[in-house]
Amino acid sequence: MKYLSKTIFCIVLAAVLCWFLPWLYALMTPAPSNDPFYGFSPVSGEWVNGREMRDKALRDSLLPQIYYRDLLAKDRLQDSLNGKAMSAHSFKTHEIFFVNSPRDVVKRLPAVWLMMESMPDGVDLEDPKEIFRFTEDGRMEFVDIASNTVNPARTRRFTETLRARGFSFPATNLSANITSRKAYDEGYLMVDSEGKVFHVKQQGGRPYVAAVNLPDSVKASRVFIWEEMDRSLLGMAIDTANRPWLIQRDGYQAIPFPEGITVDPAREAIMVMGNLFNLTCRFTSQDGARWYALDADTYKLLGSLDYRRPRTAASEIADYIFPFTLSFTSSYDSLAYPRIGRFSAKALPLWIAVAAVCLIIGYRRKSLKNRNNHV
Amino acid sequence: MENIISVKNLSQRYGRGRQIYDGLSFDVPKGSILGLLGKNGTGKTTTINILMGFLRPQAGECKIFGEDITAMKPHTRTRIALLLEGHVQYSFMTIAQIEKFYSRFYPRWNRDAYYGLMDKLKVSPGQKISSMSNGQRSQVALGLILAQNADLLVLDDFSLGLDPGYRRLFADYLREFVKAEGKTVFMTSHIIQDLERLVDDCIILDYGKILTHQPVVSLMKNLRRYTIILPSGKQLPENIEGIYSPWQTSGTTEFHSFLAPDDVRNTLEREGISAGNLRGDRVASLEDAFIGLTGRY
Amino acid sequence: MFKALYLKEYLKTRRAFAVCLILGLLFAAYAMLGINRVVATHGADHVWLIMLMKDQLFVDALKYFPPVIGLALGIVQMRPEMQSKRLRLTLHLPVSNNRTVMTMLSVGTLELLLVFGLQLAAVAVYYSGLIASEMTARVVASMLPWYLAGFTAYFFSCAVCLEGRWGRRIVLSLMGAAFVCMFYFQGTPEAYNGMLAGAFIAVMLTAFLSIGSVDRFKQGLTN
Repeated sequence: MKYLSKTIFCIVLAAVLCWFLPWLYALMTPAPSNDPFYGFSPVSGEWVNGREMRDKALRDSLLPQIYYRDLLAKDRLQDSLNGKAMSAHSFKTHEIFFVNSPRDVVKRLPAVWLMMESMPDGVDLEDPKEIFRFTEDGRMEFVDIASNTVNPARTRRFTETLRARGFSFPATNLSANITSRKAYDEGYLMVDSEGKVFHVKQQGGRPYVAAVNLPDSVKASRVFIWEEMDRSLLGMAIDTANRPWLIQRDGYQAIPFPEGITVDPAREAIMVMGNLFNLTCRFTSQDGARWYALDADTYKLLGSLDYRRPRTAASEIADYIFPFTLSFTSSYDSLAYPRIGRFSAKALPLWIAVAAVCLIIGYRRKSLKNRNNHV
Repeated sequence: MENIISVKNLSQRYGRGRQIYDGLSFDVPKGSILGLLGKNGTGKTTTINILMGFLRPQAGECKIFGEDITAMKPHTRTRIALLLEGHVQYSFMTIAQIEKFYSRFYPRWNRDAYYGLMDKLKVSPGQKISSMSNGQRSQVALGLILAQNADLLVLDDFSLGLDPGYRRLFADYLREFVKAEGKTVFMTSHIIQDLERLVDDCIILDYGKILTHQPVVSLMKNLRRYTIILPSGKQLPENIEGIYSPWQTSGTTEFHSFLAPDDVRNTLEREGISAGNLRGDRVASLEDAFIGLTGRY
Repeated sequence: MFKALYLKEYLKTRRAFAVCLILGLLFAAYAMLGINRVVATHGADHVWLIMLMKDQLFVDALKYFPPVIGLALGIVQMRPEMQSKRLRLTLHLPVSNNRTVMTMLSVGTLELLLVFGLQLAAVAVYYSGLIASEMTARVVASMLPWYLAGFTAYFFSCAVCLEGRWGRRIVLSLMGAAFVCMFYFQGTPEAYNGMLAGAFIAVMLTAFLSIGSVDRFKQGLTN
């Protein structure tokens, strides 16, 4: 048992060192976070790094969709560009800003969801009064949160409507923005158990359910609802092959991203900035970011850019010190579990040397002990 | 005769520091009471710790009941009663609780022996050991040792904290108990007087070695205290073989030796010292013998 | 014999155990009073909304209770063993030393299990009347790593107390602190669900560190 104890001591000590030393090293060698921020210029048809451009006037004129307020203040905003009228109003009504971090996706959520009322009696949206869950016997069960009791009438009504629209219980992925501090409520986008996407909301206490027109061969894995000033798009779906789809509000048409563009929401942060001219998408991973600009009307690819984050000297040196690192958390998810990463063969010589020194010391100690025992 | 304890070539040092002893060997035969005597720091408690498996020796072999102490079976420990230095016990227990606790481990547990001693203490069974005086705690510890009815008693400084009367009572009680039951005792004590009434054999340790290991009777018979008046300015040389702890006071030099007076005289004359006024007497007590062999400081 | 060992450990820790038990229930009551206050001032629906929208569980008052209690119980139980090296008495008992140590640890583990179990049960029972069962399960699952931190603190504090050398004590303390911190790296509810089983086994294995400390004590490796 004492050997088991020794082994456990060594393993715990090694684990603590594998975690602590790289953590300490990273703490002592902070890396600046200065990723470039690009905009796709409707003027030049090229990517512009707004942060680096010294000539602010040129920057503003190249990216009017971002800097229109500055242009307006200096009275430099043109009336139109590429045949589109430019005004503060037109920019605002075409504004989309959606961000999603893997931390929001890779996390454990309770299997109950809040349901808002999309058409409240008053002018403003109200905090939800009920939650729903998907029961094992295939029902969408509503529970009144004030009394913690099931609402059988609403349960029956929603369950029947979902079934009538072809929804296969239960939902495997759901997306909603639960807050009363928004302009309007579109309820949920849901992926059913067959990978079909549905729009589900509560209007005047009654269910509103609509299926999104995805091709039969496509199975969705994740959905993201947008409730933006530009109401033309309801949200985004990601299929099982990681291809993103835009969901149009009118007709619930699903439009695929141009061929070859994929995103893994569990590993990449998603940012979509929509404007009068284009839809700028940034997919950020640990190594860098991929930028895509889609035409705001046709969703055709206007341009793409692949940014690889340069490695710092400290990070290069770390490769020669740590053969691997142990961590329990990541900025790319909300889970805790041991993860071994950043394997580096460059650190092996150092650790072979350390192991050799330890072996020599251990051997010397052992022989000294043996010599004493034989005296 | 069967040896209950057998120690061969034991070597130990304090950490990486001073060597306590090197090549220490002795046996404790069945039925004997052996006292380990020595000044502070000569390794008495260290030896007990090694024998009880609380310290791994640097070298050497120790056996108790024929079993290597490093691989002693737990059951063998039912045959060994151990009294720790300072009479350490579970002070969070009461008199009754501690008796009940130990009784579960020792098949030959003698409840009456324990409560017989406790009755003399005038304490109630519900009294917590931590609320007792040092002397009372010592007596509880000794009561537990006797109740265990073990074949080997290992007592580290048993007389610490005891009243003179109780020391004598316990020494007599222990001797009677041990001799009647054929027990073996290995003990240390700072108070040599107590051991004189109790032990059969004694080992006197000096720093790094055994000075002597022999029956107390033979020690008292053979060891002599010698005095000699040396010419002014003359001193006994250090390390004369057979002469222990020379000590000079007001012109008279005192030393001890196992040698007969004629042999001492010859030894001194070989060293160029006239031994005309040499006088030798038997030692009066074990304590005198101990001081005579180990010196006053 | 083992009954006697259980008795000894119980006698040693019973006061601390009672204090831990009362504190555990008091802390649980404090957390519940906090929730009651929210319910009284904002309504029960507010608790649901905050839990579902903000990932708050209203049990933060209990977050660091388990490791503090684990640490305290370990010290209360093992410190007397090392005073005057009293552990020698225990190791001299005619029982395998390893089994003795594990029996001692099992008493503390059992006591912690009772303290933590009662606290968790109190929270779960209270919440089950207030919120959906899924959310109660979420609260319970989110609290489990804290209790594992409690057992970790207990096993490490025992190993540290039984360890005789200061150098090793410091190393063990730092290892224990790092191990306990592991359960607080991620504050998101249910973040540890995936590693709970593995962490439970790892924590239970750290109980064996005390065997190593005792073995070193028997080798005389003490300051």
